[in-house]
Amino acid sequence: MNLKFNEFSRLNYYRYMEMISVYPWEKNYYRNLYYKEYKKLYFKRFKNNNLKEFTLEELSYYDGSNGRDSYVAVDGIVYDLSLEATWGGGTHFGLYAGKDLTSQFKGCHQDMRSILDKLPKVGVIKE
Amino acid sequence: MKDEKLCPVLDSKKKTVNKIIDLAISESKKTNKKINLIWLEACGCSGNIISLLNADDPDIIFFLENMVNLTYNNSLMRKEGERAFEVFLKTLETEFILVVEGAISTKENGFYNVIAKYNNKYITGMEAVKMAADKAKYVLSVGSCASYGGPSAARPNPSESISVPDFLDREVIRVPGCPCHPTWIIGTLAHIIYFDKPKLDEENRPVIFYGVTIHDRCERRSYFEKGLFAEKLGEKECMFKLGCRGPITRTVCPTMEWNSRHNWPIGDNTPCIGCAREGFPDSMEPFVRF
Amino acid sequence: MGKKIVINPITRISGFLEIEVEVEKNIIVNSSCSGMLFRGFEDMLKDRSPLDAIYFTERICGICSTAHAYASALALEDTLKVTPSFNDRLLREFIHGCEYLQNHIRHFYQYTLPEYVKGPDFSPLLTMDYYDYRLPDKLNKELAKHYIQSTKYSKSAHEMLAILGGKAPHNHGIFVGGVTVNIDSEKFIRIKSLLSSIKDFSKNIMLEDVYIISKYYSDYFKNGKGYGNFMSYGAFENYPYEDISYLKPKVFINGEFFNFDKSYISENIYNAWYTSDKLDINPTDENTKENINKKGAYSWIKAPRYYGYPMEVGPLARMWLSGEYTKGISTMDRTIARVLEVIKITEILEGILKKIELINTKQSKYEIPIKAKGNGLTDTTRGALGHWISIEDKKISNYTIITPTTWNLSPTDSKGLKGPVEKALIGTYIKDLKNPIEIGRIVRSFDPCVSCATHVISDKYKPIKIRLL
Repeated sequence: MNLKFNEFSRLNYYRYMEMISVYPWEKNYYRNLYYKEYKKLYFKRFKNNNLKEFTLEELSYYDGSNGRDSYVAVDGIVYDLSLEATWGGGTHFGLYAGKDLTSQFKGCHQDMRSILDKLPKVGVIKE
Repeated sequence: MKDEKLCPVLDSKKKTVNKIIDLAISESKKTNKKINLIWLEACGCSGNIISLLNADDPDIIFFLENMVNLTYNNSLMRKEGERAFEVFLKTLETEFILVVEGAISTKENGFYNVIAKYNNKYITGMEAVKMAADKAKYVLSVGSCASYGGPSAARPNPSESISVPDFLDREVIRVPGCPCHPTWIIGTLAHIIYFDKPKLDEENRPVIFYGVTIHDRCERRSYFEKGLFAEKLGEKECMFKLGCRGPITRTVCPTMEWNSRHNWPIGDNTPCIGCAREGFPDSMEPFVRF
Repeated sequence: MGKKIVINPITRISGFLEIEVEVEKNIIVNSSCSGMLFRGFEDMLKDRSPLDAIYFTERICGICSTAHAYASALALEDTLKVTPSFNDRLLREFIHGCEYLQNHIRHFYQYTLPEYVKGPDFSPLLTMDYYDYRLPDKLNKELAKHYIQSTKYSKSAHEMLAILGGKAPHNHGIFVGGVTVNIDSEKFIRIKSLLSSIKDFSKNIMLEDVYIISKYYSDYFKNGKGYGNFMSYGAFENYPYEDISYLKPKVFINGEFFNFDKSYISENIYNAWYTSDKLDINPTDENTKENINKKGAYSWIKAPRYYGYPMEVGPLARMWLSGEYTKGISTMDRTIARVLEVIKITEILEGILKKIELINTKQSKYEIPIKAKGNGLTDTTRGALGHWISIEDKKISNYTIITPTTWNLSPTDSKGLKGPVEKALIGTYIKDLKNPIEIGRIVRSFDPCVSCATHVISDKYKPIKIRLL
């Protein structure tokens, strides 16, 4: 997860440098760097969203234990909860990550899609 | 981190408690008439009264001498047997505050928790709480068992325990924590004695002690933001990945700390286990996850 | 049939206890103790994560939570095959020692003292006129002042505990593999200064107080003897150093010392609401079933026995077994032994501080085995405490706890042997039948902790009777 933070902070840094630069060539240099980085990140997401498919077995690996990421599937979409504050250690009020928790989600949060929309999506469940 | 002044609001929050207690001290010196207090131990571990003995400025002696007139408490009172319970009955006729620690055991009509025998009849915790709550000016549920069921009601709940607010149909001020921090107890009582009821949140907890999550003021928050996580106990980073319940638990632990402000669980390199939150311990488990 | 006296609640103990005695010609001839609280912790522990047992079992008892954390950590280490580093072990021993100090000081001043001393004059301690108080006014005033003073030192003991363990009661610092604290010089000097103030207090004030009381209440050297069989699982042991060693596991039966063997511990279910294929069951056996309709049974407490003997556990047992105190066995001796043990423990803790190095804790990640069994036996404040754990499918499948108070308050077994407290009550002369203070004084000298014992005790409409015939 460190990587993601670095990429974002790099993006911010380039933006900032572009803003405070005095010389046009300097501005240009940072703008190029920014777009390059942005593209990289954008395609990575794109790739994730479209290509990564999880079987339930593969999903169960991401249960948050031993510092692994915690992934949870709701309605066929896999969400990354690794940095979701209410999911300490990949657990949440007695629920464990690495599973399809569609019914549990609906049981507690009804149809509050807004919660899910904020979470990073990492893939879909293979039918 | 602890001693740095972070933000004026934070600072004033810390001081609010002291201010109330200071005021309570000066007020209590003015009046000799102290309100009666019944501290009932029901189905629990009696850990909250022990925690109260750890109180610091005001300590337990000041509390007993100047703030309240503690008439009935199983752990501290001199009288025993029927004579002890007579004191309880006598207090019911006066104006008093009721503090309950421990859950209400309802199995077998409450006979899993008998607190006294009077006139050859067993008085259950359930009965005593009901009797006192009908007449009490205020009812405080101190500790997580009394406030939410807590460990006494942990699955499969063999004693069929329920929380005090669930048992009574009157307003109950919740002061949770396992055990409850002595300053939260005394601070809440001080507010009641000298200012009337404190401001409560939607779960009836005093906002001054239960307003902000542990995560919001945690001394390790910066590690969380940077994505640096501890992999085992004893490390200095954020313990979120070990199952810390700080983000879902609202108490002032990070700023007030425990036992005369010496330390607190996260300061001791262990994750918060959400002991002051509804659902403890069942929904807060696992406490530590590798 | 003699006159019946019931005291319920016995106040100034941890938890709820009823004592019923039968008196003939001012002598107790029959007695029964009833635990008045049931929560069922052993049931609750089933199917939980084994690592959670440490923090969970703490919640059994508010006054001695560290003892359960300690025993539970030992049991888990035995199960997971983990050995803590020497420094971590010392630190954990220190945390446990703080709990001894806190308990003993609070028991002596807050629980015991009001029986012998008038005051201090605030509610709920306002003096009752019918108590048997014998101290001259001047001494009485001084001791009442010490009641107030003592709260500072028992609090300090918990402060030391919190510095190393996060908070108290219900600390976080004791864990599998020792402790979680990284000791540094700042923490070190804080606990050192707190410890020295406790030592001063116990040596100069507490010791004197108990001798004053024993002088004026010398008749209490003659009652409350019980069986005089002692047992200890060992405390502050397995160190190559003399100054931090206290005693090894040992038993004392009918005037003779024996080595302790944990395989001799059994629980008799003759009078308890459990059914099994045998009467004496092993703590790790899982084949007992509760059966509230069992004929003749009257208790949820199984009667723990060592080689068939009911054993007394606690400070007097330890002081006796280690040879530190051998003056006698009685109500007052039990109280004196408790105070002397405070001094002994402060000395051991000072010794530990001399050996502690300022290094970080050696915690690691722990793998839970799929199937394993283990136990943790240790002596703690009130006596011998044992935790037995069985793991199946990476979860707790069985958890048995035998607390010190279960030993002391145990009911009659199939051979008709009574529990130590009932035995101690029988034969006691009661001066004033309207004010039977002797009963409370004897029972409290055992320091019963019913919150602990009654994690398995229950009560139906009829109280549990430990019938003594």
